[in-house]
Amino acid sequence: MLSTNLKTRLDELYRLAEEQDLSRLSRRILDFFADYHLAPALRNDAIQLRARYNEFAANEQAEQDPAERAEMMQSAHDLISEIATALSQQLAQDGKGTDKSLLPSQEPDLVFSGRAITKTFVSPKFVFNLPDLDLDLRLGEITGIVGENGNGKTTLLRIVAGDLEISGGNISYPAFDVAAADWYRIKQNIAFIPQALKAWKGFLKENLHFTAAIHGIRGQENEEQVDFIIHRLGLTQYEDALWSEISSGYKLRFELARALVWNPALLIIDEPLANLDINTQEVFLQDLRYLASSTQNPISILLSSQHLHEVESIADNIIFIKNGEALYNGSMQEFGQDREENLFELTTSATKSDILAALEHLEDISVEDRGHTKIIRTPVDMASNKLLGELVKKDIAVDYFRDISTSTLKLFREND
Amino acid sequence: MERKLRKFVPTFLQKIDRDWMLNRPYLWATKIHYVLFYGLIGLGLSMTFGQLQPISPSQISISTSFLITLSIPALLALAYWWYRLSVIFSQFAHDTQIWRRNFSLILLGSLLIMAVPTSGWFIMEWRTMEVRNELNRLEDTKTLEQGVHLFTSVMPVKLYWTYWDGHYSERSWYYNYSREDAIDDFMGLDKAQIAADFLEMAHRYNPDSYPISAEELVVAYHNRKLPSQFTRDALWHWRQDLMKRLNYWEELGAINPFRLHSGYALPSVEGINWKNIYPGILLFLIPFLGLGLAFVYLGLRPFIGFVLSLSALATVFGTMGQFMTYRVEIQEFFYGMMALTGFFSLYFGFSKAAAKNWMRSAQSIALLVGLTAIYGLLLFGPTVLLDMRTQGPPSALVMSGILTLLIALWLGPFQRRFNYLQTSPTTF
Repeated sequence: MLSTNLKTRLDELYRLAEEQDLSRLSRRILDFFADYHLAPALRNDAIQLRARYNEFAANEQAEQDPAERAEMMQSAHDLISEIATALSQQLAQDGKGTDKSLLPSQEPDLVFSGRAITKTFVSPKFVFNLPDLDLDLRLGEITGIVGENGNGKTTLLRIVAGDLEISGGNISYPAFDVAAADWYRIKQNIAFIPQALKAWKGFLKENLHFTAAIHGIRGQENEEQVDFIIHRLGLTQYEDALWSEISSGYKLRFELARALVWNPALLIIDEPLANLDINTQEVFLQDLRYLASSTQNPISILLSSQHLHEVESIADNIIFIKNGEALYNGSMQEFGQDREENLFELTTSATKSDILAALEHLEDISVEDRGHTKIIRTPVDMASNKLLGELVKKDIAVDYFRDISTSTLKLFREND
Repeated sequence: MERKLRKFVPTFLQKIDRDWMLNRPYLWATKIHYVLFYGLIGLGLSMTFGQLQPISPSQISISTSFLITLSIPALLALAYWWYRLSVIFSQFAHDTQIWRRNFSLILLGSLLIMAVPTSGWFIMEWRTMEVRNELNRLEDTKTLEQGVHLFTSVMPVKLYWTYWDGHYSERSWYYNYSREDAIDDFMGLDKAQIAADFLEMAHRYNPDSYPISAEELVVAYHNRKLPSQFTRDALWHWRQDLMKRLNYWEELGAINPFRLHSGYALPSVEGINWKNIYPGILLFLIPFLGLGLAFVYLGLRPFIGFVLSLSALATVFGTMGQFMTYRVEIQEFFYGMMALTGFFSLYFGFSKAAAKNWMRSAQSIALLVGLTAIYGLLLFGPTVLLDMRTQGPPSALVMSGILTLLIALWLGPFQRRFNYLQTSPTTF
């Protein structure tokens, strides 16, 4: 009998296969091999499938051969079956039907712990203060830092990366099991991707080999690991390219590949979404989510971004910094749970008066006109579908509608 | 460019490259395998061309021969890997703050090396002070070409001076130093020693032509007194005769004129031009001032970091400047190489030590010293073996260029990882 965790993972594979979503399926299959030790031949097949798909997807849609697609789907089906069989056999040998070593640990390890972190920059013209911050980063968790420009997001990232001294407070890296000031060893576990990427010299794949090698991944293992990460991140067609030959989006993905190829415990990314198109953002964030949650090599990810909704969709924890103050610092799930009202953001051609007239039969409703958008405040028990239904019923044309009651966007809006 | 260059890489070298990339990454990043292979090919080719072209070494300038036999292929090879790594540009690029600390570490390492008498730094300083007055004469020089032309035309004079005090007279290169000037200086100095050495050389090549034996010359040398027959006119005559013979022998390939060099002497205190000593002292003291400040402000505050950086730059460019103005003999160049190697080794050592990882620190130093030896042997080994001299601005420029590239190559493989790993957090 498969463990619950494995069963969930396999079910996801079956579902993606059923949906014919070859892109995600080939990625998830590879993720599977990153987490569980199975036969090398199977792993190679998975890598080949992903590489083949990457090349297939690089073609224009009109040029994609449906027969080839069907063939790859069949290969994926076969692979899933083989994986399930191999796992069953492997777990049966365990005698108890479960393999605890394959399960994620119950208590995520604390990678970084900071208490009352402050940072002050003083120049003749201005003074910058990063507020007193408590920050815990755990393996398997994603923490997003959001806020306006110039509020210290990058500063905080650099502090965690060991790039910047703190002005006050305490920081430690409990999971690394090294002395507090041993920055060399601490940084052996941290991958930091700054916002402004520096050009790579030489062929991209060689850079990945070099990076893996200097982190102790040598020989055949090096080749396998680099192949794995290249195909996993969809970089197959650019592996022999030069830095100047790829787009900004791919540059970021190669940076991510270079960071992940040696399995760091803590990944820090500054504004990763800035240069990515919407589709790539989605794939990138999904990748981060899966990479963070890996059972064998879980990573703690800390990222900053202006893309609130996108970050919130994957983050476990969120920090919202504004005007030298952390307006929120905690779990994403808990954000807004103690709210006293609901906030809805919409864009419409209707005026504030129109909206108020349409909702006059509802109690405690207020509308705020912010020019391009309108903010509607309602009691906590007002569900979004009900409010939207009321607006539609009164012929209010809504172009965009979002419940921001549990989004940090609310903090932006409330503190303007 | 990258792909085109790769087409010229033979399969076996590609295999080595891949193997080292996967298993010996630091060695791979130095590209020493490419340097060795293409450097040897270039050297072989240039030597073959040299054999095919029947030109006496005395007919071409040393700098030219140096260029065609060694520098061009070596520079091409190095430029290629320099391009691949572009470490000069990326050295300080990763983080704008780290360069201050890096420079400070370079400074500390260089100071330690400078404090070691055998590093050659003192010698370079002394020579800087000694020859400063000659620098004024150099200002009379019209063009580089003129200098090279003069060098060829006054070759015998150069040889004469070479034998006189054990190293070439830089004056003969750019200063139109007539034979009359030479003989006047000759007569006005320690003529006993000069004449003895001079005639001993002549006696060796044609003992029957001169009315004095080697033994007599040795006695004359030790007594610092020439026999009465050594008149000014006689010396001038013998000298002219010898030069003709030497030129003739050179063309036959019987002797290598560059072998006459036999080392150099430290200048005496009396030889110092005290008026010009201050720049030398300043050059010497600035880094020490920097060291003091570094200790006081160990936190490396921005302004202090800037001051230290300037000090370090002064140190580096001061050394380079001496190469550029050919104030430094080949031996001193090697001393300089040793010094640079030393302080870059220490630089990495300090960096790693700062990270409290002494074992890796030792590994870094060992690797750097080893690489230095390999590069040095490859690039300068043939020069030493052939006893070719590398004087004059052209070759000094080439050497400076090579040195810069070597530093770049040394830094390259390590920079990528150490930029991030080596440092403790900075203050801003």
